[in-house]
Amino acid sequence: MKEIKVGSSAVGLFGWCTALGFCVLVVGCSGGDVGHVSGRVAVGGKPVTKGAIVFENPQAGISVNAELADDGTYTVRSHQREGLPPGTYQVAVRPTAFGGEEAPLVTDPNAQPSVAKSDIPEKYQSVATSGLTATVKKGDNPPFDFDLKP
Amino acid sequence: MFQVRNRGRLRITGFTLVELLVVIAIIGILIGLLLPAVQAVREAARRMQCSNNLKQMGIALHNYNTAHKVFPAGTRSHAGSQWVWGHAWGVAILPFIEQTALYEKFDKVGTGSRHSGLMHTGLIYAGMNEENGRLLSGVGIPAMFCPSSPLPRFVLRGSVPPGPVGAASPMYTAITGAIDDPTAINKDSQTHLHRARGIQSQGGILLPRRHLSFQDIQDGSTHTILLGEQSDYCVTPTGTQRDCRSDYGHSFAMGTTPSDAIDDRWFNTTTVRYPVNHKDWNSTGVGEQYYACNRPIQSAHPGGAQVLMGDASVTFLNESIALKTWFNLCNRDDGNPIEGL
Repeated sequence: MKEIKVGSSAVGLFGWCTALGFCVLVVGCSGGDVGHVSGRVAVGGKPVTKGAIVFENPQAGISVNAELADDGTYTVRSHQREGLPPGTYQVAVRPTAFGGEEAPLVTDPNAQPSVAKSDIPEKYQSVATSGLTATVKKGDNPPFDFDLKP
Repeated sequence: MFQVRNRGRLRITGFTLVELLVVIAIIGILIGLLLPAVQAVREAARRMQCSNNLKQMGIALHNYNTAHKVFPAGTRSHAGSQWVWGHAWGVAILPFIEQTALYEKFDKVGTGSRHSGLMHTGLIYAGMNEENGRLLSGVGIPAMFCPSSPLPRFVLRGSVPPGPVGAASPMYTAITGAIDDPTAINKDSQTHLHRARGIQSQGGILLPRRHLSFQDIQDGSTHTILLGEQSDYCVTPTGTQRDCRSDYGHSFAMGTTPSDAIDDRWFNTTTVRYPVNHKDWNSTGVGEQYYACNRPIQSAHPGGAQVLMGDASVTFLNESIALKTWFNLCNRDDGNPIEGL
């Protein structure tokens, strides 16, 4: 009887240690030093339904694109993190959706590539000229809404 | 084991079930301890081969330099032609990696067709080099493949040359510089009438359409990078894996056009913009719909990626290397030679 008691308490101790270790692991992996970034893009109050928003911080080597949904909303994330490291970002809005397959090589040497027609004024399409910035803090941030002047 | 005395005779009764289970559990734990170690050793061996491949190409580039007094162009077109897709550094070093026969047969001037590096006929495009397509079909050049990599070794698979087996796609790419070099041109904006998306720089050694010699490497060949690894997938925010090598699925042979403002795509080269081992597909200049200039240097090895320095030595760069240091290593003339890597 005595031996069984010792055995069961050993199992219990082992179980508790495992559970504790698991908890530490889970806490250690979740969270992280990112700020959640989401919001809405509009031109003159009208939501931008097609395109992507760019958050760029050259010093940190970050230039992340987030696609705009049908109602102009977006959420920034990468495959590793749900958001962006804290810091100040330059922002631009691109008229065409991001990603997709590699475009075919040009078929006619004299043809000019077509530039997508868009309501987004040209100055907002490049971080160099847009003048838009966003300061991201760790954790939850108020929505970064951009209403661009047409 | 129990020894039971039964009617005066000594008899061994065998193991109890609990004893067997304990032994099996112990063996299980030991194997569990051993397996990750074995996997790590296997990856270390693969990484060593991967690094040896880079070294081979470093020696090949140096032998090219000895023979021609200059480094090959990172990616090139043929002189005097109006609009042709030439070939890249991978073709130039063929004679120096035991592939002389292949190099001799490779049509480098676009005889009979206009292109040399562009060889598949899957697109409606006049003058593709089907001869080169047939020549390179299924030819695996061992030095161009990293054994750690999960990426496919052959691209351009189709019913047209190079046929169902495809042509080799390298897991290493030439670095034309970093984005902080004064030569960097910003083409991020979609408003540019340019198909390339990202930033193109010519601060490195293996440049488009230009041959540099050792005296052009002002920071010293020991402090400047020639080639870097691209041996893993990039990942989209939803977790989808995407091939993000700088040959854009056109094989190691694909080069560039004569300088052109609209379509200056430099195949098989990259401009460094992101940290080592950056794998975010949704970064500007990485997962672009058009040609993306800033495909990152990344690997399937844990913790970093390997690069080939100008002196033909191979260095494993930790992914936590400071961005500025990493850029300085990619630029040949920034006046910041980095010591003690």
